[in-house]
Amino acid sequence: MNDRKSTLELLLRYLDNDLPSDERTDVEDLLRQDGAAREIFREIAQQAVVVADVARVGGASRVEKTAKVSSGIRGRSATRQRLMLAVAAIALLAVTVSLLRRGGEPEIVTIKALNGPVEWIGSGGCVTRELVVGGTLPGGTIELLSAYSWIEFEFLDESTVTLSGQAAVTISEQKQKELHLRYGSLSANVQPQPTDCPMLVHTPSAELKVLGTQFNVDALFESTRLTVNKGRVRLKRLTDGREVDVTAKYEVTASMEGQDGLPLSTRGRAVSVWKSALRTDVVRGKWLSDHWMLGMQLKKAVASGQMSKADAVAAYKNAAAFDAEGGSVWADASPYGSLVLLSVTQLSATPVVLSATASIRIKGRLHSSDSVKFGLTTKKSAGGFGGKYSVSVEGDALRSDDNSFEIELPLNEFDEVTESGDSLIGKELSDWWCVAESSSAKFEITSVEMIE
Amino acid sequence: MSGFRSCIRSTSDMALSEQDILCVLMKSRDRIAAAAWVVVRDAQAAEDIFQNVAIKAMTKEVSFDAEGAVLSWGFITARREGIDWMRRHRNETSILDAEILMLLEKDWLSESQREDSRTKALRNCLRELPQKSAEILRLRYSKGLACGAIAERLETGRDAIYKRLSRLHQALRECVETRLADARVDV
Repeated sequence: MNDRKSTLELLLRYLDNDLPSDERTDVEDLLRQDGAAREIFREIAQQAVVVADVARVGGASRVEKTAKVSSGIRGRSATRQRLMLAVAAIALLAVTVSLLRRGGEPEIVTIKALNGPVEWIGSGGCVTRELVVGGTLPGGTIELLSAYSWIEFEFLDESTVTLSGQAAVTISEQKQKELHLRYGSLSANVQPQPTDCPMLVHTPSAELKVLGTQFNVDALFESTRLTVNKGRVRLKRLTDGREVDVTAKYEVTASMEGQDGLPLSTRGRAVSVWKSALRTDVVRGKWLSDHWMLGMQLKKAVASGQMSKADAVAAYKNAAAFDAEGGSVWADASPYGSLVLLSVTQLSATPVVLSATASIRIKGRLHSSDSVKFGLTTKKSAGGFGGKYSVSVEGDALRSDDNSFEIELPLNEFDEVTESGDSLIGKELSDWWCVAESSSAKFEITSVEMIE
Repeated sequence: MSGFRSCIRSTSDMALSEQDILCVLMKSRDRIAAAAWVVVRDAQAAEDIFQNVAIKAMTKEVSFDAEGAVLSWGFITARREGIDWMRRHRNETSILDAEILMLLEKDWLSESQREDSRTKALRNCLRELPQKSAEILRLRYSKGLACGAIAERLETGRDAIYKRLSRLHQALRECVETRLADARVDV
């Protein structure tokens, strides 16, 4: 092994022209005579081209793309027009490759950090999930596919953007930087931009102009929340064109429904306890009220003849009169497991700070034997993405005769997903999530709260 | 991907079709690009050379009757293109000795057709590298910086970068072998 390592180092120095001439000659003799040394040399070369290829497009698979090219050629390989076929093949090959390299669209961002499944869709339908840290990307759409996913990327001027949780953003940089945040949350640290070419952030309900600042944006289905931590951002509500300048320490919410002013609010005083409103906080998962569940049971009872329709209606009305708020959030199936995602900040401007003595108490029902992972997404108190933390719980620890569970997880039991050693204490809670690895896992969450 | 398992579908004595030739070349893409890289030591140039080889195979009046012939021609053409590139862009004296280049080509040609799975395993291994390690590899092979320049950028010694880089190559090799062994067990 040591011989191999020293040969490796010697060959690396040789390739760098970093050896005196007598040692160069020795290396060349070695390569002539020793097949094992040549194998190491070939391996360096192959790793080099793959590293460069992966970095070039963040890892888009050339092989898969070319498979499509090849099959396209086969499909059209009629006996006539062979020359045209060859030309078409070359053109396709050239397009295929150039789309993925510097010769195609310019690469505008470098991936600085990455976790979980993330997909990049470029122009021409080029799709890859093989993104790597250090890889560069041209304009395109980045989509995070799981609650525990996030990505940090950097423009050439060192402006950085972090996308976290279930989110999708299209990036471009022609005359100016533009981000189209379709949904989800991003935080950005933007270097000073030319005054006539500010960075633009588009969401379904607002447009932001950024000249250089640190801010967070949450794009929800019908509203956009902007929190500015440093500098100034101009927000324009798309429904009426109304604009407001948001300065440091202020935030504003622009909804598609709202036609009133755009009042700025300061961030509320931090709290250390929180209870989810489930129905209004749910981002991923399906909210089902107890009434809906009762209605289903009564319908079944009527259909099977166990109950008359009149009795069923009476029972339903009676239940509705007593409890108008009860319900649960059922996990959504996804290719990356079953997931419930609750936003902590969707409707509240009050920061929820994580303290060393706090715990997360979760109630729910587990209808399968799967283990689940409970997680937290955090923000730094000074703004910006603060990391993701999670703890895994075996299915057996949650199962009971009636499938219900209640578990209390002290914050110090949560591990940082990236294991960088950065504590979650003192950070702000951004969202809470629960994921089971199997997409067929069934569970529902009836209550989530942070207690001290 | 399955289309790559058997590029050559015809068993007749007829010359290979354009799609067969392209398929053979693409299947050995990393090997041919690596052979070019050995000459030019520039990953972007090696990629350009591979593309030129593919285009030449489709446009020149050359015909092949077997996969081996395509590959042999591909390696030789990549080497010649690489030497031309060096003459145009760099110092010709730093080109590897012709005998060594031919020995390397011979080794590459004699390798079993396992490159698809090796490349895939290598890509997965690269994804698992710590950020700092990935950055060093990117600077060396994607940006084309010499180890001395990387050392300056990372404010460390040149020897340390050589050691780190050799450990990284070794770790990638071990990771690839482990993944391939696991895949064989799974099968």
